[in-house]
Amino acid sequence: MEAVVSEDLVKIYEGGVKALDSVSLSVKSGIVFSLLGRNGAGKTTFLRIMATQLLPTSGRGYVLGHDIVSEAGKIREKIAVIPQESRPMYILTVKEHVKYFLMMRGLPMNEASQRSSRIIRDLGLEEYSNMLCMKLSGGLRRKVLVAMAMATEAEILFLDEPTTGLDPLSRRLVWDVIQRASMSGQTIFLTTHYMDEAEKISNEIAIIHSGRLLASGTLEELKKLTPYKLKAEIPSDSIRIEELSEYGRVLKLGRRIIVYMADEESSRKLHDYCISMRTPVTFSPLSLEDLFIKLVGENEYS
Amino acid sequence: MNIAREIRALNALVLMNGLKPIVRSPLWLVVELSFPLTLIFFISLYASEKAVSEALIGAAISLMTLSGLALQSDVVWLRVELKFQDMAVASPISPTTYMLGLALSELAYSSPAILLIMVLMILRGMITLRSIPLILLSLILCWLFATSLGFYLSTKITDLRHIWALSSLLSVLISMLPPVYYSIELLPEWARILSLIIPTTHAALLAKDAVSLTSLTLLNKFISLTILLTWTITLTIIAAKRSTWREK
Repeated sequence: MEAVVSEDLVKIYEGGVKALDSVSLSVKSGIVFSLLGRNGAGKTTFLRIMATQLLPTSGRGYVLGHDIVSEAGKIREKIAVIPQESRPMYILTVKEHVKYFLMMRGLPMNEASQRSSRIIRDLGLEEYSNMLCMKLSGGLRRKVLVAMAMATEAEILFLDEPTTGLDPLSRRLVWDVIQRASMSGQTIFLTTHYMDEAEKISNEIAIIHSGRLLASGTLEELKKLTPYKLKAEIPSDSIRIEELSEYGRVLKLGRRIIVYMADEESSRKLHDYCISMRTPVTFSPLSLEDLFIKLVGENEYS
Repeated sequence: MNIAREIRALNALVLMNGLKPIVRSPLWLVVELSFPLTLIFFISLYASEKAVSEALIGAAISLMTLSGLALQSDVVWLRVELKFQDMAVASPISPTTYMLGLALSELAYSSPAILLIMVLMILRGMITLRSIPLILLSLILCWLFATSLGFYLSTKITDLRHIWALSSLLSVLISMLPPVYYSIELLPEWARILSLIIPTTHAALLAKDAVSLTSLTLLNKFISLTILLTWTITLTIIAAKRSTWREK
């Protein structure tokens, strides 16, 4: 069953800003799905529409088979959301946040208490459990919100940039919890700026730009959208950029030159050339970030 | 509707937005009390015993009204600054339960002050068993009316600074300026007529009648109750139907 489906979804805000332009997307149940895009690309608008927080201008959307406009009540029973830039209440403790949020959703106090203790432990928040949120760092506060959403055990979790502000270890803890939730059958729909996050935890990824969906699928499917398989990074001050174009597509990113290559033969030739020029070079497979740059903003960086 | 679930949701909102913050920051209780008690203090210096009794009734009505209006700031704070309302919208809780829960949490701040005013009224021999129903009705209708008004306005405003200004202005227009703390008879004719538009004037008239500070005819009592009820029902319907829960 499809967890989230949109058909030609359009959102035009008051004042005429078109945030979504005929977005059609389908997300399978039980997977981690990442929506990638630059700031203002339309990620949050899409998430808010599907999470029944915002009405679309036109088009249709379904969450777990329910219409997002006419059956919002049924959808709300089965979803939970972490909004972007949300914050906990400073005057409540970590445990109170999770527990009261669950009670607000209708859970009995005992069950809410047990569930909150469990998620607090899973997210490594035990030592902060009885601490007021005003005393927590920004990253820990974000983790409290993640705990609130995860503790609901909702069928679909809409997480809008859930790991923003978290340190690398905390991010991995959150990833673990997200992946465990997905393995237990929950669908995770998240937006993120972090390419490594999308690459590591997502089963499927979509890229959105200026309100239009550019690509959608598994990482392997997305990689097939470009002819390049490998990339080389070379310091820009050690070589002339014009001499590299015969090996592949060349981009200059700050003090680095990136060469995208279609096959290993090109990479071997480039390797030999760099040795002859006594220039350091690093080869790696094409990453999601490379793909994102190619699809979204190649021209801006070249 | 699952009543047990609704009660749990109300309980959670009262705990998170009312009781827990009060326990951790009890100064707010003093703040709630300071305004009406200061007014009563000044009135007791300059005016008669009857005026003090009227001011006590006014303080109770004013506290209930301000409690409802205070909802505005919290709703905007929770929506704009914390994005908590977004989490609530995408959950099984209904807007009515959310509004009621937050309104009850505001009432938790005012309750000790209202209780103190009631004790003062009892000590002054103002309250009898017969007067209690009408006093309670006036107070509850005032609270409902102000809560609905506060919630409706809060869902239309996105800037916290605007809501602070609006909340202060409404407090003055609804609970300070009209004859709530003082007798309507002190007003000139034109101001008296003008004040009759405001629901708190009628709540004060009914409560003062209940404790025999004024004597309303049965017809006047009926008119006051009708106006107060009309305001309350109209604003409750507007809050339920026209408030923005899901953004457009």
